[in-house]
Amino acid sequence: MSSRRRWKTLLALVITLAYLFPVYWMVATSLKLPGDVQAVPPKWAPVPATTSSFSSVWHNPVVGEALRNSVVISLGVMVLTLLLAAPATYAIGRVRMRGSSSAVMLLLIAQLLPSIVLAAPLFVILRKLHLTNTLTGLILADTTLTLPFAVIILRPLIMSVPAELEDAARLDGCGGLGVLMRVMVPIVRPGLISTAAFSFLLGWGEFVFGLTINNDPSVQPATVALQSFIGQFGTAWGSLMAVATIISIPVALVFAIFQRWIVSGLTAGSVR
Amino acid sequence: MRVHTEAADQRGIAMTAEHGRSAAAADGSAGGIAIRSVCKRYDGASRLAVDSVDLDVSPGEFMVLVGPSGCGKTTLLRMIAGLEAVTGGEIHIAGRDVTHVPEKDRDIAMVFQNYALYPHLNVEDNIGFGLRVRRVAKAERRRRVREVASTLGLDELLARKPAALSGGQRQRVAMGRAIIREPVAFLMDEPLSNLDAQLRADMRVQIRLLHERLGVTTVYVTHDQVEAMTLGDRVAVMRDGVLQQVDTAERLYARPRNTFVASFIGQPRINLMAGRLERGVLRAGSLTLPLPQARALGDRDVVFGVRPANMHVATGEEDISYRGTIELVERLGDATLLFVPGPASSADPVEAIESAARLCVKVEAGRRFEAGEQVGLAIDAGGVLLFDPDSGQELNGEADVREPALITPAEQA
Repeated sequence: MSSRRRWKTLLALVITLAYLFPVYWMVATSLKLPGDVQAVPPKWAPVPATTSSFSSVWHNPVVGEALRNSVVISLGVMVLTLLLAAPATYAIGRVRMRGSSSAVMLLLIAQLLPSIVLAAPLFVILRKLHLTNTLTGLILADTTLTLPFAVIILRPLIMSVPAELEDAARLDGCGGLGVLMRVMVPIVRPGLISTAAFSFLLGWGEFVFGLTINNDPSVQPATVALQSFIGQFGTAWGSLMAVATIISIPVALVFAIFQRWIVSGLTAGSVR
Repeated sequence: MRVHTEAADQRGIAMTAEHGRSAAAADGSAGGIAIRSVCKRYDGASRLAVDSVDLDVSPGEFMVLVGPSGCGKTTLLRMIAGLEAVTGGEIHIAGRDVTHVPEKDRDIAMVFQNYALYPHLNVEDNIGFGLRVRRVAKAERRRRVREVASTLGLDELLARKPAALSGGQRQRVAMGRAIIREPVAFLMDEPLSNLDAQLRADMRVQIRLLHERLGVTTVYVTHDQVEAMTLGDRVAVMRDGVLQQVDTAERLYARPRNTFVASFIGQPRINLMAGRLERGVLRAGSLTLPLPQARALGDRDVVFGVRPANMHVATGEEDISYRGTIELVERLGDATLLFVPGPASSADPVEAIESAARLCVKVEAGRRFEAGEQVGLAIDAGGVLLFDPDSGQELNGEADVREPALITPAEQA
């Protein structure tokens, strides 16, 4: 019994390490001396360590601009998703209308499509709107990915709120918007928090739209800038890994802070 | 510990209610409700959920809508509230046609079966929610919330969230949320059905006392006939969307208009049997009962009803209408129910009448009966209700069966 448990623990440990190893290698490489990066046999630990890669990318204007773009894009995606998802999900989940269940099905399918499939039509649409090579265009494009996801997270939460609560709010003097803002939104707040975290992370990590819709480097996100460093720095793996590490930090932070809500948001619909 | 506190709280309400009663009677702000030929058909449904109901609720009246589940009583209440659109007809509240007025502008408050408290707000904010939405100033809101909370014995609980309250406390918060608005009318949708029996009986008294104190027109929906009879100034009995009878509890019991009302009202249920009237004598199988007051109805098939309390075990041979063997004895303490196989009538056209199979007799607890005992039953002829076997409508006309002298030949027509 206890030896079986030990095996299980060991297995879990091995899997976790296998997943974490690239992350470790990224951080380690970013801290190595340039000569140690491609040493044979490989140097497992960054000893002696240096922050020279970090200081070099930190003063690189391209990196700074790309990170600023990423911040604007992810915050924009987050805000737009929340603004649209709450009323949209409320309508789909609550307002009795024809075809609302097929609408959800369509959203689900749209969400499963590879984003590269959507990139070409989105490019055409955004170009017609003169929104290619703008941050706004990229925010709109990314939101097409986050919105279906938000609806899928929020719908079961909204549907689990008893209809009488809304009736009570209406009789207490609320209009449609009042019911949504004073009753629905506060009740589904955990779901909204996880939606916010998810859409921020999706906007932060998005690559395909950033690459295809915006080809001007001044409006590309950090994920795309990262890729462009491969040519720019040649074999300067240290700088590349330093940027990658910087990009990873907000992800880890957001997840650490909102972990509770992210997990509850994912399971809320199924456990009820 | 909690039980103790709750009991104390309730004494608190009772005393406050008693205290304030005189002040309330003078308040004439309550408005009546008039329902005119109101119909409701749900999308795709073939039959009407509410079928041209006409109902007048006087100002300050406590009207109870009662009926089995699916009879349309809740739909009717929701139409009064404006939560459900009417398919046809008109609804007037306090003299104003509100048929197409949105729910929030009807000036009514509703108490829901599951209380519908806002889970993210504490008791104080739940009660004050309506005032907040209507932009009542904070100080005023606070004052009124405290006032209502003390009326309902909720002072200690203002900071709690609904999840931390017992069922009875939640129910009182829901009442408070309705009261604070000082609406033209209260609508209550089975507000007690989620409580246990003891608390339900207590809250029933509280609601009635509160009504006497506030004097606000109230429409109350329930499927529980005891609640209906005890709470309502009048009771409206519904079935399949159709209003059957609107009357005081006493009249519903004594003069039900049809077999449905007769069997729905009264506990234990009325004994309904198929029989035949011939020259003023009622016969059903081996049951024979002279019914001189029904001579005017001529010879015909009937369905007749006898309340369990209108039968007794005969002591003398002369007034026995029916003999049978006791099948089951239910001792209630103050009374005893005897169940005796009913008279199997050969010409039984109403097999659907379930209670015909077994007669229930309510007797005083004094004499002890045992199953298997042979008894002769005497029936109080004045308490016999006669119905048409096809339509189920009452046959006694407008006259009271308890006063046979009132039946005149003219009423045959």
